[in-house]
Amino acid sequence: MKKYILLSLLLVLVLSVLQANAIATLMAHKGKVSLNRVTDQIKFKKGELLMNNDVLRTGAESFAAYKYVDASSTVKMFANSVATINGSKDGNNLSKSVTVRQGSVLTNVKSGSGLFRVNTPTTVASVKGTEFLTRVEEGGATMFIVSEGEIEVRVLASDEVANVGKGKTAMISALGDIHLRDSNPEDLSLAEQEELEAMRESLPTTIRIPVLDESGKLKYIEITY
Amino acid sequence: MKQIILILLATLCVSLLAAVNAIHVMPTSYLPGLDLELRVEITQGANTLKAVNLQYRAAGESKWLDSSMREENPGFWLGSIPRNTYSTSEVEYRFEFELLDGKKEYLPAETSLSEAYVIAPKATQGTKSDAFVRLNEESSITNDEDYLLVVSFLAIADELDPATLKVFVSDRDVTELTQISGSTLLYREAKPRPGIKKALVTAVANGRELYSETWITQINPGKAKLELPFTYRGSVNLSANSYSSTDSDISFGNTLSDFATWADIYASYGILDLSTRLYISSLEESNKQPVNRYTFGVQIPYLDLFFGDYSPELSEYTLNGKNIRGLYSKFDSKYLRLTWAHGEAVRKTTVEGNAELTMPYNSGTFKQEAIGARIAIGMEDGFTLGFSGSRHRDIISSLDPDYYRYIDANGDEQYSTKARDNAVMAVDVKLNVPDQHVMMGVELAASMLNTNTLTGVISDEELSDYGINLDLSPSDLADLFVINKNLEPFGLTEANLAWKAFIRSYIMNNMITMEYQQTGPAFNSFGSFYQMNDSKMFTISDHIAFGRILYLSGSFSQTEDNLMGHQTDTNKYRNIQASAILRYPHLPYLKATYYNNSSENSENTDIESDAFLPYSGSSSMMSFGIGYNFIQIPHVPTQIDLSYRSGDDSRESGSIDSRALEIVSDNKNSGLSFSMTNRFLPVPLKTYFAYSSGKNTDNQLEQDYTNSRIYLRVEYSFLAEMLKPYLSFSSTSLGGDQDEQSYTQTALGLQAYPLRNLSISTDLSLKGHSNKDISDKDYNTTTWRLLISQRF
Repeated sequence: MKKYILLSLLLVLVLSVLQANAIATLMAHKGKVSLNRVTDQIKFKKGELLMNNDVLRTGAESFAAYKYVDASSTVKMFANSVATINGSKDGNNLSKSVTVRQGSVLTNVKSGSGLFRVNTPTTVASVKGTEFLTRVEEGGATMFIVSEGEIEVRVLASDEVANVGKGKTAMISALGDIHLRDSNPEDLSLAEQEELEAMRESLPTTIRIPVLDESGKLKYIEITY
Repeated sequence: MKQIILILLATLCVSLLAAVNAIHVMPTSYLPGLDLELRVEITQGANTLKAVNLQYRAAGESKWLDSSMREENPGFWLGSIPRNTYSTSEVEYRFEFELLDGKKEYLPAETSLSEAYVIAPKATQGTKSDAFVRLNEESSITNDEDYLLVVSFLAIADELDPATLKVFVSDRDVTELTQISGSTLLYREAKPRPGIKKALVTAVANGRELYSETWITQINPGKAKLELPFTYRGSVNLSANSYSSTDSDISFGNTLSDFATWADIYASYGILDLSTRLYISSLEESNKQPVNRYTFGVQIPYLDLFFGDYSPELSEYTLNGKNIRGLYSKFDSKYLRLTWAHGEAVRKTTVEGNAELTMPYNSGTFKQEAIGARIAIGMEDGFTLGFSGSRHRDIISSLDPDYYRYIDANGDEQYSTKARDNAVMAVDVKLNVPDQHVMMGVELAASMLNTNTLTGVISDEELSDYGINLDLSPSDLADLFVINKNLEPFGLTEANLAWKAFIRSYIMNNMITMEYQQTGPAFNSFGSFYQMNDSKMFTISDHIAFGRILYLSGSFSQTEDNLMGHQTDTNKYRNIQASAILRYPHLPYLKATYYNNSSENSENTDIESDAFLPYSGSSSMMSFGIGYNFIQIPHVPTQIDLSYRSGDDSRESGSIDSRALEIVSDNKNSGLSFSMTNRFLPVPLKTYFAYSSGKNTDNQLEQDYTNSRIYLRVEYSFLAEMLKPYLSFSSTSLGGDQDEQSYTQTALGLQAYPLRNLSISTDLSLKGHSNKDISDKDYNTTTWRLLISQRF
């Protein structure tokens, strides 16, 4: 009987993997990054299609970023972070969530793009068009630093709800206590600050067009815009 | 009899002068993944056509690819750019008209100032959709990275048929290499080649054809050592044709069953371009002029080398487009260009005589050697001075004397074939001012023709008898050119000269060309196509485009012969033609053409002769057309084209007794052409219906002659257009000064695309020909054709 149950479970698992649809794509990665799907660690490259329940881990001095397939939300993971990616189709929208078990995750969500949640061991943050950083310390203590828009934070232990607006930082202890204050530069690491600034700046793009001159030599025309 | 010959001559000359005039309504765009069908309507000169080809290439490329067109309805030719050839590039195309005399003409005309038709990818029948979203937004990467295309279609995932998804990257259909997961697709290319990559996605959602925007990514050279890009493309083809007839005596065109295989391969590696063109046909016979073609070319900056069959174009009057089998080389620098061509222009053939036949002696054709050279100094985009020369020589040793010499009944030596030498020297000057879009040029050429070199070189004594004393003996020049009394004419005169001048300007989409050429009666050039000797011709033409909405063109040409005044009469021909296309987006297109040909002669009063017979003739035709693609019709978008033409032709001639002009013929003619293409959207069915009729009224006999043709074609697509069987039927009835006759033709065919870039088309056609009055002349023909083409 056990054998049949195991086989059935395996079949369901296999079918669920086969039927899995991409919910996100890996936009960038640097350093030591791993991707786990079901029970396997899989090889990947930039652009890899990410499925529901895929787990991304970043090591020291590492970085990863992915974008959901509705093109509305980008999640950037900093060093020593672990996040599980979730998403399900809801009509023509995609309901998205990311479960941050450890580390820092910068989330950018366009407004009007369906439900987006950030889960931590102690909280659930609901998002409707915003940009914020989630940091989960060892033991489950969580910090939300909102740089744009507003998020709603619900503490799992107490069901207490708090709205965190632009320029505010919410600190939730492992026991579920919420503390709200103004954000300050020390809340962000250097890498996190640089990433936030980079997202706001529109850097000029340079393209190089190779051309052959009359003697057949390769030359380039550079256009910066 | 002379009247008839004169009339025929005049008609021939006018048709030769008029060449081909055609009109083409350009589509606004093309849909990736589908054949792009293109039609061209011949408005004048259809009887001079041997074939029509469609030439196409991606914008910016130098090599044209060819596709044969077929005459779907009299005067209407249909061809297509094969599916999946292009999907993201702008495509240039033009029509190539192969004339019966071997000459080629183009629409748009081939000038360095005019452009080919340019068409962009997209679709009139498709809709651009923002639901295709590219998730990776890099506009620029280096080739150290993978090229990525990650596209989501989440918003239309429920309506979209995944089987219809097509992914195109840089004109390649990469769907099979693309990972599709749910509502997302991923295409990855390692080590992409530096350059610009364009990507496009198409699909069908709720029965509607959708296409994405075209995403452009610049691939820059990375840090890794740049590998020289190796690219190749071309096609390998095989065709077979089988003909049979119940009456083997009836000639109805090509009656020889044949098969042929050909390959066009172009490759480039860095600065090296290679090209190979091979054509091998079962019609090749060693004792006939070659049908097979073998060409191998190597091109690097400054130098072109072609071995085998090549058609060099040195200048208008020396070597100009005729095939030579041998070597062609060109050194091409900014200020100096040197060209050399050497090879066999005509193959040796022999004909056995037969005492019982009209030719009791052997005959043959000498192998003819062609040599041409050109030096041009100056910049192509500036002032150029060029000197060209060519010589064609029949090689006497190539033919056994038994095949060119015989003894007649009187015991005299006669020649059944004569060996000839022909030399042409030309100088040309060209001024090109690209900034002003103006080009002008002049070419002057002189020719020498020896009509029989078998008699050897003239001696110094004989030459001095003619009053000519040269420092060099003719025998010293024999390797270059054989001089003897068979020179035509003997000595250089105005009769040996030909010259041409032109000015062309392209300003504000308006291209005006003026051309004048004069050809002496004794000018001969074996290396260029038909020259109308003893004539002068002036042509002015104008093509103007107002955006992509209104196209106007018109031309006038006048030709006059008897330059030297040696003939009893002077013939004058005039040709006027004009055409207009009005195509306003979303409205029916309108087209109109007009031409008028006239001819007349006048007496040369310097020569007293009773042989002069005056004549005059004219013919004109005007046609109007309208067409529209009714995409509004639910489920059955319908393309309609309607043309009506009306004209007349008349001829008057004098007689030996009286030089007063009398009407020889007076006809009025009119015709109607209608075509309708239906594309059924619920099912992959396409129908084509065409009807054409013509009426000719002989005003003298007060008699009408009519002809008409109905053509029906039904095609159905299976497996997403992979298999397209079709059935066609046509019925034609002909009247006129011939026996009343009619024929029906039924064809069953299949077009298949079983593999990527592989197309197979075959059809079986049955034709029944009946003569109303003489049933003995009835016959049936069966034709089977097969064409397999693999592009890569």
